[in-house]
Order: sequence, then C-alpha cells, then structure tokens
Amino acid sequence: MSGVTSTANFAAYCRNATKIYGKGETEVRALYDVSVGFETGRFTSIMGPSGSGKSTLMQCMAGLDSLTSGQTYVGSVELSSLKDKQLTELRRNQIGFIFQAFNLIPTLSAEENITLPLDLAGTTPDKEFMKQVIDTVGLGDRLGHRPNELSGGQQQRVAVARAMASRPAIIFGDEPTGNVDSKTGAEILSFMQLAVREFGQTIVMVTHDPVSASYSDRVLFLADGEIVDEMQNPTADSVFDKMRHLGD
Amino acid sequence: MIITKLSLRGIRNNLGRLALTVLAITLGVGFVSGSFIISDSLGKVFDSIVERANQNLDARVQPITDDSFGQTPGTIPESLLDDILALDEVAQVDGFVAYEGANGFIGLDVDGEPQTPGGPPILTFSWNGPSEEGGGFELVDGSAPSGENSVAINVEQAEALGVGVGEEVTFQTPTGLKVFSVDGIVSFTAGGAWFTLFDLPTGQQQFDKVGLLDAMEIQAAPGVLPSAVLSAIEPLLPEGVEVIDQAQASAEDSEDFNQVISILGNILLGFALVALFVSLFIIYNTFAILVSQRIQQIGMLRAIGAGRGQIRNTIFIEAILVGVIGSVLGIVCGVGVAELIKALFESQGGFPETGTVISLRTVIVALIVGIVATLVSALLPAFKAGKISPVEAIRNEGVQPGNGRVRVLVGALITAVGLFAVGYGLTGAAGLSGTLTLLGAGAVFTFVGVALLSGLFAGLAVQALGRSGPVGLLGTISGVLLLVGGVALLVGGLVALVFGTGITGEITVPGQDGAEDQVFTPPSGAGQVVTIIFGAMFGALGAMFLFSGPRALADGFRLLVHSFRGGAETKMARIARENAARSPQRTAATATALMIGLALVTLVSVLGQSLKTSLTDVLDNSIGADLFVSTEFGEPLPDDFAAALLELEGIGAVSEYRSIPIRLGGPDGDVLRADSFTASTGESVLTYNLSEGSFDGLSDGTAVVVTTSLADDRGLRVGQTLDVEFEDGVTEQLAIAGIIANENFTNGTMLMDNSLLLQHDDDAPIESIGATISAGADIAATTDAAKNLGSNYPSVQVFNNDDLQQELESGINGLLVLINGLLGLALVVAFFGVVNTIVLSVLERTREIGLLRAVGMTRGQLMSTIRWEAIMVSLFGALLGIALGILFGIAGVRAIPDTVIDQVAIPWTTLAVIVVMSGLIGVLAAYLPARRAAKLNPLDAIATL
Repeated sequence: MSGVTSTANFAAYCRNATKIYGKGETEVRALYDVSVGFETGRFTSIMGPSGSGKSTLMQCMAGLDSLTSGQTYVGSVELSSLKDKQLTELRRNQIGFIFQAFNLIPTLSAEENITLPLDLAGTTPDKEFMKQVIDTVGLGDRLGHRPNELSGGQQQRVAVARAMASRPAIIFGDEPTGNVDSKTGAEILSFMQLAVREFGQTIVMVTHDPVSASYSDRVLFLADGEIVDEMQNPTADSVFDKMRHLGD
Repeated sequence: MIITKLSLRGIRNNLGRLALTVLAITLGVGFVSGSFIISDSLGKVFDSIVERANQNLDARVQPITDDSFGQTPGTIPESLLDDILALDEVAQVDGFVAYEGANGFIGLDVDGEPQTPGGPPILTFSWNGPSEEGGGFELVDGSAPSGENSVAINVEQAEALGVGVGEEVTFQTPTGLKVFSVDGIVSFTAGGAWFTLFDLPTGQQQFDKVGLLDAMEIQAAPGVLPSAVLSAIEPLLPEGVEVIDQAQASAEDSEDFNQVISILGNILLGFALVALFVSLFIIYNTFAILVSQRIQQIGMLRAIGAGRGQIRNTIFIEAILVGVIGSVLGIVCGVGVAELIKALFESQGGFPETGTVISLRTVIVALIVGIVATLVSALLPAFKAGKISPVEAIRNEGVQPGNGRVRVLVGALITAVGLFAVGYGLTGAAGLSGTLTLLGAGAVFTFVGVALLSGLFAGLAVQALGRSGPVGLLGTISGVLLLVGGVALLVGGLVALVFGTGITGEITVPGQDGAEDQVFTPPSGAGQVVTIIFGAMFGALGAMFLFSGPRALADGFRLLVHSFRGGAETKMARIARENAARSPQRTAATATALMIGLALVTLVSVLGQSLKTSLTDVLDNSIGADLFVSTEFGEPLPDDFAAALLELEGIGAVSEYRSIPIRLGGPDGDVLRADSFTASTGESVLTYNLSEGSFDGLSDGTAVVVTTSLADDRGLRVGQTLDVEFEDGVTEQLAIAGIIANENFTNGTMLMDNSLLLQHDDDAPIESIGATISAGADIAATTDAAKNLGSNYPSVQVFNNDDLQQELESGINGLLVLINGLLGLALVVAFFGVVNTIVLSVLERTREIGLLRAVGMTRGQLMSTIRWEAIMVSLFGALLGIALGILFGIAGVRAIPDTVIDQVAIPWTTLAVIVVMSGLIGVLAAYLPARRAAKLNPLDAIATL
C-alpha cells in the first residue's frame, strides 16, 4: 500500500513517516517513508521480523515517540505539533494502550486499574458503559482483587478493558500476548476481537505470531522500515506463508 | 484523588524500603524537637524557681547594673536599709550581699581535702530570707545561719564533706583558713552548683562589704500597693541605685537563666540541624531509587494519560506522608532525647526536677521542619519522575539516569557560590562574625554543590579506590577492630547482663597494691532494667561485630595479598567496584551524607589541632614566665599574692595583669579596654614584641603602648598623645611610647603600668600573675614553693609551662570530644543512609544476584561483594569529607584572628581514624543487607521482574 487517499474513515494514519536513529556510520532507518491508515472499527495487526520497524511505527503513531520526518494523525490531530501537555491529554482521551507486561498498577485492584485513565483525567465514568465493559471482561467477583491474584489472561483482559475505558479512538497493543501461553493468548485475543465487534473499537496490534495475527481483520507486513505487503481477513496459515517469503 | 490513592498504596507497598528513610527523618526531627523540649522544660523550671524566690517580695532595691562606661555596678550603703524600713509603706526589708566570683569558700573534709562540685561553681551569699525561709532556699535540716561562725550549706556539699548539722568545717576563704559551724542544710538545685550561706553581718565581713549591701528585698505593709512602696522609696535612693517591682525583678532574674538556656538550646539545635541536613541526602536517595525502580510503571501511567504534574504529585504526596510519619515519630523521639540529655546532666551532678514541656511551637516547628526537609529532598526525584517518557513502559530495561547536564550546571554553580562565599569571607571585609557566617553558609552551599557534582566523578573515584590495595588494608584493619571490639562488647555485655539479673550477688574485686577492695552491688529497680537492656544491646552488637569481623578480615587480607603479588583484584572486589560505579549518582548521594558528618569532624579537629599548635608556639616563644597564677572561675586574685610570691626564694621577676574599660579621646570617645602590667619587669615575663618604640615612660604613668590593631585602625604613631578618660572621670594625656606586635596577651587595645591604672581605679581586680624563676635557682623547688603558696588560697591556681600546656590541651580536647560526640548523631544518620542504599540496591539487583548465585557464586562470596561495595562507598565519602574538612579548616583558621590561631596544623592521626571508621561503617552497614541477599533463593530471584 502506498499513498493515503481519503482520510475520513481513519482513526489514525501517517504520511511519509520516517524515523532514523543515530547518525553517520551507526545510522539506523527504523521507518522509511511509510504512509498508512487504520480504519475505524477494525482490528489491524502489524507484523514483521525483529528490527522491521513495527514497534517504532506503533510508538510513533501513538505519540509515544516522535518522527524524524513525516506526520502522524490521530483523528484529525497532527501529533508532531503537540506539546507534552496536549499529548498527555490526547493519550488520556483518544488512545488506549495494552503492553506486553507491566500493564497494571500492582497496588490497585482490577476495577481500580480499569477506571485509572478516567480517574487520572478526573472525569466520572459513564456507568452504563463501564458496567458493560466490566461485564464483558467477565471477572465477576475477582474485580476487587489485586493483579498478582489474577491469572495472566485475566490480567491482560483487565488491561484491554482499561484501554477501552475512556472510549478512545484507537487502542494500540504491543505484543499483548507475548508473555503468556497460547491458551491464555487465545483468551486475550478473543476478548480483543469482542471489543472490536461489540463496541466498534479500533485496535492496532504489533505481533510476531501468525496465530495472533489471524484474529485481526487486516495484517500489515513490515520489513526494513517499509510496508512490504498487506492482507485482509488473514488466517494463521496464510500469514505464516507470507512471513516465510517476506524477505524474498 | 487517584493520585493520593496511588501514593498511599505506593507507600504501603514500599513500607520496608521507606523504613530507614522514616528513621532518618525521625532522628533529625527528634533532635530538633528534643532541643526545644529541653529548653522549654528548663525555662519553666527556672521561671518557677524565680517566682518562688520572689514570691514574698514587693520591691527590690539594687544597683543600676548598666554595663556602660562610668557606672560601676556599685554597692548600696547599708544606712539606706533603715531609711526604707522607717517608711510607713514598708513592713520588712532584707539586705543581701554576695561574694563576687565563685569558689571563694571551699570546705575541707575530715582528711583536709578541699571538696568542690567539679565543674559547676560554689556560690556564696548572705542568707537573705526572712528568718527561717531563705529566699528560694529550702531549709531541710537545722536552722538559718546566725553569728560570725555560723554557716548553712547545701545538701550535696554536706554529703561531700561528710558533715551534719552542728558539726564544724574548715573553709578556705579569701582571707585564709577559717572554721565554721554548719547550722543549717538547705536544698536548692541549680545545675549542680553548691551554696554556702552566712548571715548578713558575717557575709558583709567575709566578702569585704562591711556597711554595704548588694540588694534589698522589701515587703509592703499590709494593704499598701507595691506601686505606693516604689514611689515612697524612689526619693530616698542615691545615684546609681534603683528600685523595681516584683514582676521586673522576676523578669530580670529569669532573663539571666533564659539566656543560658537559649544558648544551650541553640547549640543543641545547631547539631540537630546538621543531622537533619545529612538526612536530606538519604531521603533524596530513597526517592531517587524508588523512582528508578518504578520507571516502567510510571511510563505506563504516562502512556495511559497521566500528566507530568500528576506523576510528580504522586511522589510529593508520598514525601509528605513519609515526612509526617517521620516527624510525628520524631516528636516522640524528641521526648526521649530530652530525657536522655536530662539524665546526662543529672549524672554530671544535679539537674532541677523538670516536667516535660511539649509546647505547641515544638510540635509545629518539628512537623514543618520534617515535612519541608522531606519535600525538598524529594524535589529532584519527583521532577525526574515527571520527565519519564511513556516509552519506558515498553522498554524492557530500566535506563540508568545519566548525569543530567542541568544537575552538573546547578552543582557547579552552587559550589562556586559556596566557594565564593568562603573566599569573600576570608578577605575579612565582613568583620569576624560576618566572616564566620559567610564561611558557614559557604560550607552549606559547597556541601550541596559537591553532592550534585560528585556524581560526575563518583564512578571514576570508586573505580580507582576499589582497584587499589589500600581498600584491602582498610578491610583488614576493620576486620581486626571488629573482632577485638566484638569480643570486648560481647564479654562486657554478657557480664552486665548476668550481673544485672542479680544472680551473682555482690562482686568484690580485691584492690591492687594495698588499694581498697572494690565492691560492686547489683543494681535494683530501674537501674536493673537499664543494666540488663544495655547488657543485651552491647552483647548483640558484639555478636554482630564478631559475625562480620572475621569475614571482613579474611576478605581484606585476601585482597591485600592479591595486590601485593601484583595480581588482579579478587572477583568479588571487582564486581563490587562495578556495582558502586554503576549508579554514580546514588553512590555520590550516599557518600555525601557521610561526607558532611566527617567533613565537620575533620574541620573541628583541624581547628583544635591548629589551636593547640598555636598555643604551644606562644608558650614556647613569647612567654618568659615560668609560673602563672590565675583563679579557677576568673575571680580576682588576692592583692598580696604577687608580693608573697616575690618573697619566695628563686623567683625572679613578677608581673600583675589587670584590665579595665577606658574611654579613648575624651567624653564622646569610644569605650575600649586597656590592660595593665608591671612595667618595671618589662618583657621578661611576657613578650609583647614592640614593632616600634619602647616601654619608656610607662613606669611613671605618662605613656602607654598600643596594639598594632589600634594603631592601624586609628592611624596612630609613636610619639602622639592620647586622651584617655578613666572610670573616675579623670582624663589623662598619655604619650604613645611603642606599638605592640604580638597581641596574644592583650585583651584590650593598649597597655599601661599597674600604678597608672590603680591611680584611677584602686580596686581593679588582678586577673593573673606571671613570674620568672631566676637563672641558677632550683626550678622544681621554686615551682613547688609557689604551688604551696597558692594552695593557701581558695581557687588560686599556680601553673608552670607544662601544666599550662596540659590544662589548655585538655580543655581543647574536652571540647573536641563534646563537639564530635554531638556530630556523632549526624554520623549515625549517615550510617543508616549507607544501610539504606545497600538495602535498596540489593532489592533492585535481585535478579542479577540470582543469576550470580545460579552460575556458582557462594553465599560468602555474595556477601563479600556487597560488603566491598559498602566499604568503597564509605571510603569515598570519608575522603571527600576529609578533603572538604581540611579546606574549611584552613579557611576557619584564616578567619579566626591570628591572636587566637595563627597556623594550620593537620591532625593526621584523627584523619587516619576517620578513614578506618569509614571502613567500619561500610562493613557494618553491609551486614544485614548482605545476609538478606545471601538468603535469596537463586531461582526465585531470577524469576523476579
């Protein structure tokens, strides 16, 4: 995929995104002239070998890191022009995150973790919506427990719910199943799928696992900082196949 | 809301990690509030004593004690007493006289040994209360003194002399030995002072004040208002005498006490603030470490929308809470500190019964001080936490915060300001007190600045220190000392413990060489509990020493051997070195806490050593005198002593020294001090080193010599004439015969002959006497004869040069011990700081420790690694402290006038002790954290994230 034509359907998109680390001899082009958009209400995976730039792309699009050149947008807001305070507000209101680990504050209960972004923003949660989300997480009476009393799958489901709590325009996931076994991984991914289907949530996830990618609606393939391919409605096999021939 | 919740939960989760921080605040605040409590408690006691002493008094007549020139605190003619008593408004008048000075009357016990309370003075008054009630004194046995052979003494003195009511005691008095009958025993506690009381006529006679009174206490006739008494008395008063009412009398009396109390309080407060200052660095370190340990969590919070301010606030709220907890505990601890100080004074002889006064001010100040200190220390870590980027949530490794350029810049700036203050102070432009203030402020700035900067070189320094053999030597020495000390403490502690339980009964130690047997009786009651507790504590401490000593010794020795053979260091030392160098900022802050305490110890030692050397120099070079005569409390010497001394065989020249205020340059001139000596002996007794002129004309009372300072100040030259007004109002025109270069022996600005001074003030006190021994005379015999002569007079002391030097040195040493003891608190806080850092570092490296253990490091090796790290950090702190201490010591010597200290001397032994102490601190600080680390299960440790 190259040029972005219409941006109206995109929860987030970037144009000519380039990210270069280091200088001279040690220069690394993590991203090179990438233009891509993520449609609202879809679940997108970004795949690629180690060092392909998939994490960099996600971090830049989420406003965690800045581009060397090019622009990234969340909704219609261009990120490079934002100050720290505005970026913080954007993350608070428009973006959700799911990390591989360290997702939850160990000292807060599961429920407190879910409402954390809203509490940080100082807004009162939409009770109806929160109830719906929490019901979907399906923790039941374990909501009052601390993260270390929950299973790995439960912890990540709490993390997804937390990401959804502020009804963000887009949720970014950084290998959300990287730290768990395959059964737990399936549990988490199904939950993410549910979030997209039931709540119309937009999710972008970085992963290196074809099985994980098969839960999404669309897969982008990155190699050496450039988007080399993409696939709609992937299956584990087709993704695996594509990955094998990625370098070719 | 959520921020507070996060902070609260953060504290709850890190309770163990914050414990030592709380302890640091508690100790600092405890000492601060302790010094307030002790001064408040004392103040209240003295207020109530004064109130009690003055309760029956409606008015007091006293000389106007205006210190300004021309109004000598005179005495009141006794005739005034009858005039006042004749007034209708007055019911009773009591006259009062006191002996000016202390220890004028010293009782001899049955063996003829003079008995004194040691440090505090013996005060001698007339019995001033109406018949049976001495004002403020409580008669516990016998009756008030009455008649010329009658005396009342206080309980403690009676005990020391071994006498009861009705028995006779021989006293040394200013007029020779005299026998008095002890008719009364009184109780009155005032800081361990003793009292000897006569009736009024006897007092007047003994104090050479016949026909005179020092004060009168007046009771109004029934129904007469005190104000009426005052106005009735007013017209009767001669010049220089005033009458005041009860309130004013109490206020004046309290003022003297309160001054002493506030000085004591301020000294304690000063040391408390030093300890608090040290704890700032520990608090800083804890928060910095907590932040770096939570870096991913903070990154995650930032990623999901927490603003910088919110992150900062979580740290601030934690700091406030820790500050509140530490301060509240500190106030409680302050009560303990106050009790401890009281107990200390009590053991030194007498401390008034005091309640414990905890005023609102104490609580408020303690809370503010504790919380502000914690907040200030948490400032940098909080801002650093705010700057953590959201990306940290995704990175797997916590990044080591580098040495921020801002920090280095600010550090350099603050250091520069500090050094500038020191440098500017040394120009002397601000006067002596200004200079010392500048030096103090400069030192504080330099400490902070160096603390910020030292992160720059902490890594390199630790690498360099750790690589060398000397660390091995330090470890070896520490090990040996811990072994020896451990045995001593353990044995001593166990003996005390067993003895304290009382199962041994009395223990009799046979006296050596005919000395009396010593009998030790087991304590009972509170003493027993204290003995047992202290026994157990020392025993435990000894055990800890014994546990860590041998290992430190073995490790140190191994490292020493390694470096002797020119081989590489041991692996343990190497890992320790790298660990200490890995977070230079943390190593620096830990070392800084230790640095401050040790720098102050060094500073004080350098000043003390320089003072000793300077004094020795003066004694050797500028003093011709072989003998010195002075009194213990600076009271005047007997008038006939110099003459008596001259009559002794072998005495050459004798010179008397006096000092009085004069007004220079007529009625509007400045009041200055002038000294006098026996001009006929010239410089044979003390060497003044005239830079110009001579002593010509001094003996006839027509000339003076002036100090270089005065000459420089006023542009005076030899040959000029000065207008000098004396206290009797006479102005003399005196020629300047010479200029004194050596101002060591002058209190004042000029020196004249005794005869001239006595012309204008015939009872100016003799402050000291110097005498030389003639060439060829038997020095030992002459010295003994002079000392014998002195022992006939109370409180007269005769020194030879050696005595004087010893006296001066023991005085200085005593002061050094006291100051260093108080600085010990700062070192204790710093010690906990080292423990704190090591504990937190071990926690942070749990995974790594597991890995090292998994690949085959033994428990002992692991403990060795941690111990070396602590030793290296402590040694770094000690060396920094010594460097800064010497710097400030030299600056201090420069700032103090040359007449007091004129040369710098470095106390090398003390510095060596400080270095060894840093080794001990390191070994002991590492003990508990190292044990804890060694107990970790390697697999669990690796699994820790």
